[in-house]
Amino acid sequence: MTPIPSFDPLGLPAPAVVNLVLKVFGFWVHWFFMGMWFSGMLISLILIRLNNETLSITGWRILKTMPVFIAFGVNAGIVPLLFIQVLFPNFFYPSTILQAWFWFTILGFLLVAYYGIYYSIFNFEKNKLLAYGTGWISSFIFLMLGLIFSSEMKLMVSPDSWYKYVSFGPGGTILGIALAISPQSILRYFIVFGLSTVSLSGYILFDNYFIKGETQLKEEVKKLSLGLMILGIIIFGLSALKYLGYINPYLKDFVLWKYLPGVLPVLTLIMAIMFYLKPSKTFSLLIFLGALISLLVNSISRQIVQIKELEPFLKIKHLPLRIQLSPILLFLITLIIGLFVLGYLLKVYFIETRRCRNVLQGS
Amino acid sequence: MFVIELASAFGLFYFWDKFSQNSHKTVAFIYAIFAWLSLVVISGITSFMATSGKWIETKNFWYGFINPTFLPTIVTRTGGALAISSLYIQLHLSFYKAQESVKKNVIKWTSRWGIVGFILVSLGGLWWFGVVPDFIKIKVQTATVVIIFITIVVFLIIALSLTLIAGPIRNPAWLSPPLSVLLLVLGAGGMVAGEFIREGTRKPYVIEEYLYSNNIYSDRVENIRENGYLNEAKWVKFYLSKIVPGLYKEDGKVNEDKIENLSDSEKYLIGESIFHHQCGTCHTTRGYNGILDRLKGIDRELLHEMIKNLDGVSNAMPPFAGKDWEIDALTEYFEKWHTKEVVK
Repeated sequence: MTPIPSFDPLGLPAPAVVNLVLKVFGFWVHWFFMGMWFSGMLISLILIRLNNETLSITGWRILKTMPVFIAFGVNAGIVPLLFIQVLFPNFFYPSTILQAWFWFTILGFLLVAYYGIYYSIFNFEKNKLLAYGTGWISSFIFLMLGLIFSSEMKLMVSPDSWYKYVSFGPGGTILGIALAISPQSILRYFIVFGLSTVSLSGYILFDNYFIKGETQLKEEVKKLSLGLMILGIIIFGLSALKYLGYINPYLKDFVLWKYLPGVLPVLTLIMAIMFYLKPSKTFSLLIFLGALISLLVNSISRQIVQIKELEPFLKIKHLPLRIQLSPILLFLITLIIGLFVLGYLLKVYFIETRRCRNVLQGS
Repeated sequence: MFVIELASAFGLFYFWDKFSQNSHKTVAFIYAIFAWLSLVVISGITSFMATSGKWIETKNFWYGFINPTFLPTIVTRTGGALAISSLYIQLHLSFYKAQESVKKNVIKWTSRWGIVGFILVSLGGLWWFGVVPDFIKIKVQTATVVIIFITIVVFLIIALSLTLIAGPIRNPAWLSPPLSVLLLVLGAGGMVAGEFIREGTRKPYVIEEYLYSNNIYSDRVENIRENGYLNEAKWVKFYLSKIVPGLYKEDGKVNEDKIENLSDSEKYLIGESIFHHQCGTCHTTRGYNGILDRLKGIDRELLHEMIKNLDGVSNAMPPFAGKDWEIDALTEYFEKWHTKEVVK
């Protein structure tokens, strides 16, 4: 007996594969930005306190970019949530209801954490202790929010267990206090943390060697980046090896997607070691790309596992379809226009920054 | 759109002192245009839920998006956005120390935009009322809660408009932090009341003529009445099969013999489950929108008939989807709720 209601006869607006591609793409973009605050906040705060000027400056530079990362990361996070709601509403919606209060708290906590970072950045010179403390609170909140998401994704694919989490309040409402913290959700949490640290490491190299172009900080930044990369790979590797035990049956027909998610971060680490021995601007870009591709491959593999986990309840190819091309076309046109406008904005920012620099140099 | 909004907002924030005047204007216009376009998209979605229009027959995206209340909603929301941003700018100005003449001019200028906003909200609201289906029109004229919220909105529009004319427009120097805080709070209160009107008038539907507020498709009600809710609702079936042994046969159908011999506690559990899934979206027993106090003094037979003809009892309620014995289980739950400790 399956607990999942029939699917909306209205049907998907586009083939399931299109929705899946957009979902994975959205999650990948979200993961990069989210990883920057998930692991980056913690690491930047530690770096700032270290008795080393170069690392302190690097930590400070990461912390200052957090508002931008968070804003784009939260917005990019809407994309996979929307597509998950389109593809798997019968799983996603009830499981969020079961852990409703934790789900609601995300909004409040996110606001506090976001403002906390602004406070921390703008008050560091005025009141170091308070600003630093606020930064730590924000970092702690982000780490905690990760657990809620990890729990939700686990609960969503376990409809057989939902009845165990149903509890009612005295007023007759469903309490919504389920939190499915299990070994699997914890392992996935650390997989995300490990890979986020890898991408942070790649970003630090890219930022210092490709964008900034200053020379005096590079030697120590190089060491820091390699250290972070090794740390990230260790956390990722240990968690992923254990997690593979759980998901092995789901990936038995997808050998490539079973090993590639582990191979690519290791290749990125090898590039980082080679970079350490012989640094170059191009290499820093390649390492950053390697980290990004590692995130993408892991996102794809994760999607395959999710589909397989849900397969006893839903065969994705059986989802009804009602394809309408004109809205898809509108979406694509809007996307292209949006990218042009975004490009234009970046051009304006670049020109204005250069103009200001020239004025300052002239005076 | 959201990404461009963010990119332009961050641009204005981080490059404020670096921008030339032209760049300032360009980026600000891009920000404004894309922010308004996101209002248009949201309007298409929320207005579709209340008035699905020809989408019901065609299931065509464009009929759904550009539905009968699409344009009135855009006008109303654009007005609301102008009004609330005018009040917010005034709050900012009341704390801001600037050249007095410049400050006065800006206060006057934004207040006029605030008045334009209130006019648009009023016109959009009237337009909306003119095109909504009859079941919403009736609710606007008869449902007490909706009438209260409409009264609040109308009162606030008049009061805030008069205050802006008498105060900031004619006498900008009157604007003080306490007054501007009060105006903004009242403006925000008006927006909240407006949202309540939208949500309140849409009931009993989530999507008009398609999906009821308890997530039952409107064209499935008859089928569920015929086969029974406990046979059709898969999650309820799964849940009850775990807590009421023998309720379902091996083929997954409700065991009719068992129904004849349900204990009080089993009936209560079934009623509780029906309540949570058919009523719980909007009601609790004794909490928010609690149902038990409303049922005081109604005997069981009458209650049974009321549930059976629920959509006739109130135009905000969906029809009950289930068999007679399921209504019995629900009334059992209501009746025994006070003594539920006996069944736990």
